[in-house]
Amino acid sequence: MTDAQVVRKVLAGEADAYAVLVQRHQRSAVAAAHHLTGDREAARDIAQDALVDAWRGLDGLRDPAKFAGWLIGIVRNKCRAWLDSTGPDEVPLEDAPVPGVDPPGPGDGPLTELLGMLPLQDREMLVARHIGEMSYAQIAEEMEMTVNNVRVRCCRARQRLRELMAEAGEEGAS
Amino acid sequence: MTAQGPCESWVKRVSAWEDGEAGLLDRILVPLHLRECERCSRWLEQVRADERAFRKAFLEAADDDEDLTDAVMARVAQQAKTRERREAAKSRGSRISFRLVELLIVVGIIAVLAAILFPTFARSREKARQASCMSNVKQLALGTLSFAGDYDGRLPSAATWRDDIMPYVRNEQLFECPSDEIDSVSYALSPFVAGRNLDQIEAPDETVMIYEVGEDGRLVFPHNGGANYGFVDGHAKWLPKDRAPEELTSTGFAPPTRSYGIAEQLKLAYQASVEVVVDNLYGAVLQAEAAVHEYGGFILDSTLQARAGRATLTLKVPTAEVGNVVNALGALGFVAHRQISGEDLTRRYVAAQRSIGRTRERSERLETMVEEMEDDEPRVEAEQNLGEVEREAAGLRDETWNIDARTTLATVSATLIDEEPDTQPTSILDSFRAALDSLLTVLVAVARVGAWVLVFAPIWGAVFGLAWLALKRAVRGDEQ
Repeated sequence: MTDAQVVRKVLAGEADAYAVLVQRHQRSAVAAAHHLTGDREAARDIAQDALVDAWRGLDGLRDPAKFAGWLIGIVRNKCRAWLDSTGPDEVPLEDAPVPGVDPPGPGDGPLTELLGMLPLQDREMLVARHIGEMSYAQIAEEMEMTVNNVRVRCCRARQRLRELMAEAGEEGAS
Repeated sequence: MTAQGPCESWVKRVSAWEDGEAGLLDRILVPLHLRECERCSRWLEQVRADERAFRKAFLEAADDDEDLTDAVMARVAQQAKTRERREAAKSRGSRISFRLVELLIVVGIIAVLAAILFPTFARSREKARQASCMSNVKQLALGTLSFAGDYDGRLPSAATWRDDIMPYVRNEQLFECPSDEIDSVSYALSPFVAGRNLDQIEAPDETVMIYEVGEDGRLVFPHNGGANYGFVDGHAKWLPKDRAPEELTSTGFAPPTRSYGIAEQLKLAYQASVEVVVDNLYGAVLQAEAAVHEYGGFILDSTLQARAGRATLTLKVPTAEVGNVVNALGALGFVAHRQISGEDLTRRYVAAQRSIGRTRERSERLETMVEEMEDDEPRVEAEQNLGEVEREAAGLRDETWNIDARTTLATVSATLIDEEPDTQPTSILDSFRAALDSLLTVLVAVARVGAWVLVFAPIWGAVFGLAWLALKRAVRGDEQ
């Protein structure tokens, strides 16, 4: 059953059918939140909230086939709100990071660390592209940019990520 | 890389095609190009592999995460219950939205209230104007009586009444009725009391002194089907149309019948013409003829032209009845034209009578002379003179007879016009004209409706918009 069919069933009143969508997309939501916030625990909470919000606002989804991208959009907004609310001022002094170094959190993989070195907007683009499986045109519409701009920035961000991964590999080998 | 890379001109198009967002042409061309261009197809494979690798790497971050399904669905179930409770509360009556039927009922009630209240408001407004008008009439009556008080009880003449009483009322606005839209004098002094002495008026409390007039000087009824009157005793009163004073509604025309001491009586010749628009031409002609007979007159000529929608009657009626006959003819429909004119022939009549007396004396003298004459020649001359005098006398007798005839019977020319003449087309041209008229009428009606729709478009838009929203909500409510 496709996402669109499940969405229509939920809208028709079968709330339980939403479990299928949750099972199908929770991993994407958690991963996206994790990459954007860099905090595993917060990512889980954000993903949960985003999935509940998605159910609540499901009748506002224009194209049911694009549920995945729409969900990642909700996650992105929640992550931004989370990042705003937990700014550097609110971090206790003893937990403050050393400037220039991102401390790895519990469960943080190498990719998340390396992504943390990219600007937030680039991270959002890559997350939308590779987790939300959104086209460049959809990302451009969502982020109010031109398609070419999105394509170029995604390409550069990927290139930078490859370089960072290569550097990290060399450091590990040495 | 450029040697082995994709064709630069195809990169964007292939990328868009891969995303499923290529244009119609590229959906055909890109697969064909990829089939032929090895570099581009290899590049695309590389891009796909990269995408897969990135996706895998990105999702690995959540690989060993615990399942969120139960937690999410528990919250969903809880919120679903809350939503159900809220919807139930709404349907029980705490809702604030309108349904279509409710909206229509509200609109209907407003329409009914408007239909009831608007005439009431109009009547109330007219009542207020009537009261203001009555105040005017009362003050004008008192002003007129004040004038009479200063002039030994003599009322002003109708022609100079306004200027005569102005020093007593000192307000030009008193002469304008609030219901009169034309900026002119709305009141007149009755000609039946104008110039008369107050002592000569027998019933001052029943005799109208001031009444409301229209632009043509006739009595009008502007206030709720009636008019205000000022009476000679100074009081003012509103009377409905059917109780209006008779002397003001009738023509007031009656030729003199009493002797004024000049010879036997005044010799007044009258003729009248009247044009009346009627709705039943033939019936009106019969009624007119009957009315003429009733007043002792007779018909000289009666011509009915049904197709032209017109009838003409030439009538002879007793002079004293000319006013009544004209009134009776006017009562057959709407009076379009009315004229009564008289000519004083008394002087000519008296002169003719005197000449007749003189010719009689001359004729008697000549007859005596002729009898006494013995010579033939002068006798023949005298006889010729006698003949001339007798012819003169005969001419004078004819004139007096004519004057008698003209003053005894008045001539009335009546034209009756059909309100809706026979409009059946008599020719192709008439048919065409009738069809064109009908078409024009329809076009004008459509244009009028269109204009109304345009004028009220915002209101209709709002009403239909609300109705549509209410309908949408109602349908959604039923579905849920």
